[in-house]
Amino acid sequence: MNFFNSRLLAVACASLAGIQPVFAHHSFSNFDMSRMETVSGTVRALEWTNPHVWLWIDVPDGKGGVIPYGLEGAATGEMARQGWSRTKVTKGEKITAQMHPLRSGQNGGSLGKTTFADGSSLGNTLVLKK
Amino acid sequence: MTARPCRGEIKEEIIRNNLSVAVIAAAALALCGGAAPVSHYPGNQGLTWAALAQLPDWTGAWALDPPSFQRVVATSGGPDGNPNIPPLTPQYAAMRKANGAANGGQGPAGTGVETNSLHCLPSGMPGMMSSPFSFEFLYTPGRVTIINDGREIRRVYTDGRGHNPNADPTFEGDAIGHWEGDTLVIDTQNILPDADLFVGMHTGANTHVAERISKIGPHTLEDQLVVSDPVIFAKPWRYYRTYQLNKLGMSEYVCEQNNRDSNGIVNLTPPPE
Repeated sequence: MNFFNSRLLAVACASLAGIQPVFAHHSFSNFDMSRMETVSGTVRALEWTNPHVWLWIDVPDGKGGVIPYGLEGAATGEMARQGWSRTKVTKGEKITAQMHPLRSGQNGGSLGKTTFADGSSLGNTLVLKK
Repeated sequence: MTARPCRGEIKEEIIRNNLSVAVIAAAALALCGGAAPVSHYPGNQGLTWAALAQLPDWTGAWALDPPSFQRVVATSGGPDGNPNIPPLTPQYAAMRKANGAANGGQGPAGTGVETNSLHCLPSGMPGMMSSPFSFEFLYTPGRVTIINDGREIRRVYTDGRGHNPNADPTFEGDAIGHWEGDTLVIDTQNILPDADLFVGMHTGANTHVAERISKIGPHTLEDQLVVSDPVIFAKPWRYYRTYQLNKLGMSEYVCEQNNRDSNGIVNLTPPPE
């Protein structure tokens, strides 16, 4: 296979790859990438840190309390290129996020598409904002 | 870019700054190329400040674009026959299957399918050029310095020197480059056998990386890579990465800041309220 043909194949394969979080820091072996779950609640905190941004959501437990879920995003630079910022959400804001859950069963996962209180959303893919 | 002073102009600077003659002479040699090795390559090799101004302008931050990123993801796993997986020797193909990387990274959990950065180590070459960070290319006479958000630094010498056979192996390797018109050609060797090839695979003792970097559009840089190692690859691995100008600029990435994934154990203790 020459270099040009390998390029075409690579592009074709990439188009099938679908939504994937970013692995600047690690692979996805901790997450069940075959499952996508949705969590809804209120923003507890946004850790605008590296190697990963963490979005913390308080999810109602049905008994009057909440369970904190930790959703792992990409590095700050990558998140910024997707439209995120350290001030993107505020504490107490209603939010819905998709995640690939942790295999361990812990309350958390790899952050996917996130829908904010105003109805707008961001996907956790490497989409450059120009 | 303003050209640095040479020879006569340096004399004036010296008098103004009251520097010693020795310092003046050394500066003149260093800045004007008098002591620098002569490049074997024709054309502009960026050996002086004035010459650098004639090289292609790669100012700014350049981030792996979505198509390249998806290729990186595809290289992180998948079955044999995946065109993103380089042609491995039987020994290394078996190793890749054993560590789980051949199962899309969904094989046995563990460090076998991880990258160096899980442990806050540098990717090294060639993995660094596939990191989803922004890169900047800084020119100084006889050298291009490539830095990414993750604070990895490549020093690419274009001053005509050859590889140093006595240098210690490093994550980024010994990078010797030259300019072919608007293309930066880099030959990298002496890479530590602990650098990232791709997810789940490390470099070997004789891994060699050849690159051609050029601007292929007003906002796009391309790196064509050929990675070879007779022990690891059945034939050289040819691929490319493209980067788009990131108007947000460079970011600071400090791996140790909030590393909740250390050693595969996820710390899910919420931050203090």
